[in-house]
Amino acid sequence: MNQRMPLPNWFLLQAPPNLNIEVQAWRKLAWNRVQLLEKLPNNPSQVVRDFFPSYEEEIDQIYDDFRLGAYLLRLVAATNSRLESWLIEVEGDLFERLYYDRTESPEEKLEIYREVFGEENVLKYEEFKYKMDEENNPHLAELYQQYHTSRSRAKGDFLICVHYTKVPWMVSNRKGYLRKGWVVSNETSFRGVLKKAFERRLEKEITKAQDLLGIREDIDNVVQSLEQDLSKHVQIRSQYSGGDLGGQDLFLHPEVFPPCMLQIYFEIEKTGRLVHVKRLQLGFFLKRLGMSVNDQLHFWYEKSVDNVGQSFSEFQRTSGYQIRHLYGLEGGKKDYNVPQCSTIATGYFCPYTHLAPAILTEFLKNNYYTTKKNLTLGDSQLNSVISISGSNPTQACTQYFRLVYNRTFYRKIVHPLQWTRFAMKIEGLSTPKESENKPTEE
Amino acid sequence: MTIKNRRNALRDYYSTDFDVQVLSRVIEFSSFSTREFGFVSLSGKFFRNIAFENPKALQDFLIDRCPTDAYIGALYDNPPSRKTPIHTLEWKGHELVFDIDLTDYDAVRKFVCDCTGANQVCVRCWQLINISISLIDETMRRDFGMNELVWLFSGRRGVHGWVRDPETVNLDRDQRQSIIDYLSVVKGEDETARVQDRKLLKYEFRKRTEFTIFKYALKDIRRKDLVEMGISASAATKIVSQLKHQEGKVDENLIRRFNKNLASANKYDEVIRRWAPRIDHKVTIDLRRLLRMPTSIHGKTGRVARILDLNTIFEFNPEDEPSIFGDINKETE
Repeated sequence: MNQRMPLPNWFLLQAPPNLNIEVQAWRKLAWNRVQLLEKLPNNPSQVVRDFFPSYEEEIDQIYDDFRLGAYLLRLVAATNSRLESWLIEVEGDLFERLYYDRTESPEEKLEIYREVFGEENVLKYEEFKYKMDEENNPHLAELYQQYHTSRSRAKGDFLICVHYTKVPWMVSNRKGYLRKGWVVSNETSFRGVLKKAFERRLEKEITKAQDLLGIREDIDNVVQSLEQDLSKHVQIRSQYSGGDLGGQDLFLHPEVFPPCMLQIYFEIEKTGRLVHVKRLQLGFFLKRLGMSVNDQLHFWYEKSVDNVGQSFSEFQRTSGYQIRHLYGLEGGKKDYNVPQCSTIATGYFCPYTHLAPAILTEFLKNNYYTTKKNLTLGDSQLNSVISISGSNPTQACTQYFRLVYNRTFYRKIVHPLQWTRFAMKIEGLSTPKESENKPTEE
Repeated sequence: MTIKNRRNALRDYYSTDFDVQVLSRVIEFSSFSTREFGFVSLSGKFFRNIAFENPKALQDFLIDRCPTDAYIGALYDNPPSRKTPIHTLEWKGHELVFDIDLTDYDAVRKFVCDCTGANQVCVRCWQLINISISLIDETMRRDFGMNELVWLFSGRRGVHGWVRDPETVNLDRDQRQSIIDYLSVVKGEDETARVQDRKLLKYEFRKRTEFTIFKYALKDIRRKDLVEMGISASAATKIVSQLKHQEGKVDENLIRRFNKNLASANKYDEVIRRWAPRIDHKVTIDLRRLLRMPTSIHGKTGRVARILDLNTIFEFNPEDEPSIFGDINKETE
């Protein structure tokens, strides 16, 4: 068995060996860690330089303190789910930064991979070749030539093999070479999934930390008080929900709909029938544009063809359940948001991802219109949109927005409501008059 | 046929032809007692949350109750029952399964044969399923390193693939979805579904996909078909003469040539879209899904959900499969 390298001292996933510490001092260590984590986004390199010394007389003591502080934060996170997601996110960022700045040798990197993914799920390129009897595989030889160059070595890049069950994202996107259940690729391409795997490990550690609660009263007290302080102090970033564009009857203006919603809207108008996910997608969107549940019931009753011979009240009783569900009035009573573009691309309908290039071009060229100008887009203009549509749908959508509205700069579109919000401004749909006309409480 | 006759036919089959040991080809018998089973009774009622102590008890149940359909579910920490249904139990595992159904091919079936509607199936459209089986089977073995794959005729319009390798039992939803994503060359279901960029299909997978699909696209092809496809007349002549010269055998050279011609005619996507595998991903990622039991009877057709032999898979014709209900199908149709 090969001799294994020790993990770098900044790697703090494990529990500290000794918890015999005065609780107030421990609390201070945790608070120091919070400050470090909060400073990180502003200047990550500086934080790493200042807080994580490589050479110092009391270096062991410094890292022991870090370990203790981080551990107390995990205990706190185990009591509060919002704090848990905050901690996982910021610790993940810190791990990523330290990994970039503080690991140099391939052996050290490999050790971290083994720790995060599990020892049995990581193999060195040479190990894989001999173990799997793949010495004569031409694709492996090709990869070796590509990544074992002096340039790759200078960059610290090398080939590594991870079991497919540990890196589903790499398998989904066919990153790397999949052979006998192992993904073979260069180390740099694994970094994104390494961070995600670290975050998952941390989540498990937080769950495990729960066992220590309820045993020692002094620890429970310090965890409780820290939880209260932290909840107020920490700014918890939530997922972008797209917000709400109610109050302006925007659902009457399909010209400000993003391409995905417009395509679905045309489909229901033309065919009177939609698959489940498309119904949901349009339903959420119309809700967030301010359509009331009653209006939406009428909308679907008028547009769909499956309800021939059905009275409106009958429709309300049967299909109405689904529509009321969108508004959080039935079932789990959850008020859903419109999904983000990334979610739409994987689980709903995104024209850039799901339409064949020829059909997409046709749709983008002819079916889009604005109220103000007669839009004519040439093939050459659309070519760049089509070429990136498969690999980067949000970028393609942003480019298309710029073409439609003839604007050179607009922020990247990551949410359908963002398109509508930008388009609305350009189309002049949110006039101050409208907001003045809103009924006031007086 | 009356319920009584159906019961007799089923009892006859389960007591003489059915061997419960065949299930060991898809599931592990060591954890038999905590596995969920489901059945459709003769009166058409569906039951699940049923467990059996051992395979013998299952066979006795089948002979005694004569269910029209029998299904296998997931593994749990305790035996599922009416009092302890599966949602109260801890999930312990489910084999990795694939469901390929001709329903998913409805948008492209018209290019292959004249079948329409849910009940029609013929040898020609079954070729679409065969292509999927051979492509998925080879990819699972070579790229994912699986060894024990079993393909099962579902009894009507599709096939089920069971992977029995022990490490697949504990795969979670994301891991199962990633396998589906890897295998899916076509994203979307309808005629306009997007075919993945050729650049994204890498290494052996691209070669395998193209080879398997083109082999069947070129089978018995005429010069006229190639020209209609948009390939130039001279290129079409070359392909047909090469095919003739090789006595219909499709080799790498021919594939390369066809690939080039398709690219210049801008028809690559169309051919791939027509023949590429379409897997019902919901079945694969559903961890509690019940799937038809191998060698059980399909209640609507009376055909046996038999295990397919990969070596003779292209000779399989679903229409030739006998029904234990004899002529009932004709009556019901």
